[in-house]
Amino acid sequence: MPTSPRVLRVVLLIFGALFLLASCTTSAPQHHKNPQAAKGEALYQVSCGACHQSNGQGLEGIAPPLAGTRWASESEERLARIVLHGLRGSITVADKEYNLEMPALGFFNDQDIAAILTYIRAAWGKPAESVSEETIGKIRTQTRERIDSWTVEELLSSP
Amino acid sequence: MWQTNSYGDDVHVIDVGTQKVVGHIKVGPQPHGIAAPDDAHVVFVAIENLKGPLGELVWVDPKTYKITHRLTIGPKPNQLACTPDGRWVYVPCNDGHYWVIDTKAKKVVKKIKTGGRPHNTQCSRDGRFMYLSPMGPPKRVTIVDVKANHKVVGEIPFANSVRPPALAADNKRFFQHIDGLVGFQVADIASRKVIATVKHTIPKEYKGKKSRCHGLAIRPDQKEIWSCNVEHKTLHVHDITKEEFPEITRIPMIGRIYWLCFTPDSRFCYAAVRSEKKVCVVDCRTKKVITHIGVGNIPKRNLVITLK
Repeated sequence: MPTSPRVLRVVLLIFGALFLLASCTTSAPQHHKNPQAAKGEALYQVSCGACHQSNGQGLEGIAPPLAGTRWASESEERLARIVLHGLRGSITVADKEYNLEMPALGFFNDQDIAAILTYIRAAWGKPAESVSEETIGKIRTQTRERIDSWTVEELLSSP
Repeated sequence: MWQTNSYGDDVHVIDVGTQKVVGHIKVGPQPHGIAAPDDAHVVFVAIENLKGPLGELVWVDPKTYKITHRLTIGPKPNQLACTPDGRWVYVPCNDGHYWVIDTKAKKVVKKIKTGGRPHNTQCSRDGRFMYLSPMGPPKRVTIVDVKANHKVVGEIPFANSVRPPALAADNKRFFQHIDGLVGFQVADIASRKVIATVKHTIPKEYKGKKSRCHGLAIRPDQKEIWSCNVEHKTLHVHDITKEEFPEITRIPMIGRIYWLCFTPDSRFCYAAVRSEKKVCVVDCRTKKVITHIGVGNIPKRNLVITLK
């Protein structure tokens, strides 16, 4: 049976509307306007996303979420400490307790860590602020004697 | 005794006769898991490569310390296991799969999906079964029949996310660290059921401080199981000849311990003290610390091999 032009138009309109809806709900990330965050996203997916998940929601028994947590939106220096030296012991995030060990990623250079943290904050914390390479360098210098990972208590007592 | 340094790029080799470092091998970024066949003609090291998208499996000649082969594998490989003849290596990768490698053909022949984050592996003494312990939501150990074309033949559910395991030589009991328990669970392999939950005695000075366990090994004489209590800096020793698995003693450590292994004669235990960049040597009979040996950056997995 031949399809009438009117039916075809309706079908096309429905598909168009569905496409627009899908575009909105998959949230084309605004942070991609920031090249530093775009670079950070690529690094995050390789080195952080397998545990914290690409959507930042974390996974039970593996890693806590970042999205919508104080860790992503509060102190950038605290985040830098975690990435440089790792995190261990009990931590409660989004009302769930985790007791695991995040590895230190201090082998990334300051520029890369700044990019990763800019992405994390842009995606799930403070979109307006970039983390500078200088901030990471400062924390790296301040904590260069440290050989073990941080505990939550240590981190929360630091700025 | 071979000690991987998980944040470095190297392995330290210690002579168990003198307790001295006799070798230092550069293997690649973030060496994590280590395994060897019975005759130790080769040592396999999993290169985690935290900065890159893929890891590697490295073949090391234990006589010359030369790397004889490298194979690119899945992301962030952790504690692998090989069959006693060295033919098959199972590597847990951070893509939800255990990668099965045919070491004769030097290629990946299968990927077994477990979900979660594949992390630890055990092989039965007869080389027939592999036990896969992935972290995270699966909360179970997957059993694979190596000789049936690496077919999944069973699962053992545990109470929480599974961490380091240990397997009895007779293939009857499976011991498993799990999240949220300072101790271990014991499963009967035949029935695939947990038969005991064993808690460690928390040292008085650490009462109220949360901890977790990472590193579990059965002494080769099959009389005791030793368990690393990370934050309480304690090695716990339990009797496994009794069904209640009673704790025999606790051995205080100088730092946070993360893995352990024994000499084949059950004389010495080597515990990796990750926070101190040292290996602690314990006399298994007296349960006394004999010495500490300096190694590399964040030592974790270790293994004693016997050169033929």
